[in-house]
Amino acid sequence: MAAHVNNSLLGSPRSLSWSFIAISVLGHALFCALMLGFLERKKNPSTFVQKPIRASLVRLGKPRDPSLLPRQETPLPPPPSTALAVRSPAPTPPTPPVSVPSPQATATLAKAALAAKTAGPPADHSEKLWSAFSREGKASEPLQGQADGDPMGDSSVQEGERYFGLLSTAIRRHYDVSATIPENQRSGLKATALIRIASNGKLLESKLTQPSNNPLFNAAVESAVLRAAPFPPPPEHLKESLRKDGVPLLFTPF
Amino acid sequence: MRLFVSWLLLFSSIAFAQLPTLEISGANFRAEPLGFPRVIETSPSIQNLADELDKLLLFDFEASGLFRLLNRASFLAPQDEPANSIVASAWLNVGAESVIKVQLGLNRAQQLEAHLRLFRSSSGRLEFETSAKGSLLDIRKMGHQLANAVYRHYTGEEGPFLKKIAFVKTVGQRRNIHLSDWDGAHAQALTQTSINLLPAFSADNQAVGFTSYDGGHPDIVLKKPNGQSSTLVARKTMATGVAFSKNGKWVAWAQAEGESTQLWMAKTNGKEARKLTQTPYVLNTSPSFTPDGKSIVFVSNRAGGPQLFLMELEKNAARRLTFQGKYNQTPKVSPKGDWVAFTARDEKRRFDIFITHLQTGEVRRITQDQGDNEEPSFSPDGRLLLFISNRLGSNHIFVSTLDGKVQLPLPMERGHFATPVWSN
Repeated sequence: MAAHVNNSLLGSPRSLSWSFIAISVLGHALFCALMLGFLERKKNPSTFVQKPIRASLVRLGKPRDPSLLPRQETPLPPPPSTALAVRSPAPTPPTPPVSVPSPQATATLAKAALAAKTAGPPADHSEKLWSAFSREGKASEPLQGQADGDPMGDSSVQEGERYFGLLSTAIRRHYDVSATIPENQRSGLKATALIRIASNGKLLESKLTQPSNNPLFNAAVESAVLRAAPFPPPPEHLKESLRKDGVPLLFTPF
Repeated sequence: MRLFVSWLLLFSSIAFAQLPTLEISGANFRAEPLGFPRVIETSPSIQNLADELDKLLLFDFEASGLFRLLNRASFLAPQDEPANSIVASAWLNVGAESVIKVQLGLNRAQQLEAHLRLFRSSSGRLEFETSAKGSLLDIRKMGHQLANAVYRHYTGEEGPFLKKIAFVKTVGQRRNIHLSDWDGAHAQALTQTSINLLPAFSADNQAVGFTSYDGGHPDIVLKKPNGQSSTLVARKTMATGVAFSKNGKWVAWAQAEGESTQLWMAKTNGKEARKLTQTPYVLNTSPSFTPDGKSIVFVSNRAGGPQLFLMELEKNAARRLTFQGKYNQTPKVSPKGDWVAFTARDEKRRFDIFITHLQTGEVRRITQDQGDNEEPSFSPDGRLLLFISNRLGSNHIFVSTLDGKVQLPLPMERGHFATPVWSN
């Protein structure tokens, strides 16, 4: 065949159509794969999760000298109950400083409360009780943390997005696992739960998407999420995704 | 084509875009709420024994760290609830996740027979049962057997409750080695002379090695409970802190040399002694073998203050283990070889118990803000620690779980105790 015929568009109709078919098949196959993947993700979102991140909320406090021996990190006590303030006469006592009472401190506190009780009903019972709290607050040492930390923080180091730190702190406060799980099985425990959170912080949905093989651990994971709810309202930029898609939580014991 | 591929990648990234997975770690391993009603005796004649068994089991269960014993006053189960079943709802209502019932009786041969049943409250079904038999004098042994069986059921490991402990008890000017059950019961003096210190069980638990001043200077003596004794190391110079390797082949000790103290090692018969450290003007003390017998953890002030070091015996090379704190001492390697427990003085100048991981170097605190706490020793399964604490006044022996959440004084008569060690 002459060269000019070969170079014309009409010269190789067969190769053109094959290329078109190949690209079309490839495109359809990729589209189908993506759709399948998308549907699978909807069904089981944790399958496609990226490398899990850790988020922690640094505690407001003073950084600890790394050359010193560690001190036990105690989780913050639950926010002070308002019941006492409601019952107590006006004026409302000031909020006591947040502190972690040591066992001795608790004992002293109990003694103070007992002393107040045995001394008869005082004119301002709640004031005495609060002053006992204040004394204990002064007696206890400053919390370890960062100068620019968060009063709600429970860790000595800050990691990740603040809201995830809040979530993590709230859930970890209730992350109680049975000590009867043998130690040699603990390191292998892993479970993933997906939670969806409303814009007001309410838990919309919680499901165990990838349970561990230990029913006690699974129960602990489910319980931790339920007990931690409701959560703080999410920030604007996370509201939509937390409500629609939710956030997968990977629970590991250590 | 490139444009097409880019479009596909973009599409896929949009399709799978979602929030990252948030890792929640740091579980709080908490004890299982346990309903444990009083031991039921089938005959009034054994009520005292049932009481003793009851107290013993209460302590073993609580010390294990596996359970949080619920207050018996809160129990709602009917009085006539049979020993072989539970009213599940009654136990669930008081928060019990499991219920243990023990029945003590006499069989036809007038032998004691104790039967333990463990129920799961959520299902009400019997999960585990075991029994123990013995004479009237065996009641404590039977109790520990039952506790060990429950421990094994949960952990898959042999419980430590039938093991012995050794410790030093000070009375006046005398300090003597005593042997007892793990909870301090049946304590008997192994030595009754002047000053005897730092006991350690031989690998087969048949003898206890310790530092004795009987010869006028500190030697290392090996003594069996029947009274038979032999001097393991007598070098006319201060020899202290004997440690036995778990394979039963080696002993190590610290020996004064002029202004220094060096570590030595020999076969258990005292032969083939060799010096492990050669550091003039430096104190090397408190050796503790790793379970494979290939390394020793010890204390040395070669870096200034006392710190823990690990020496591989074949290479004779030591590396520093602890970098936090300025005064770390009395190391004991876990029988599992993962953690080393030690005493450290913190910035408040209080002594407390810590553990450090041999591989990662992570340091965890076991005791805090409760007096001075010293001289830890691991249980044979590495899950519990014995140590000395003055939180109640005098130096008493305490047991703690490895996370420090449960710390109990041994239910023994108060005294002035030191260096408790668990048998292997």
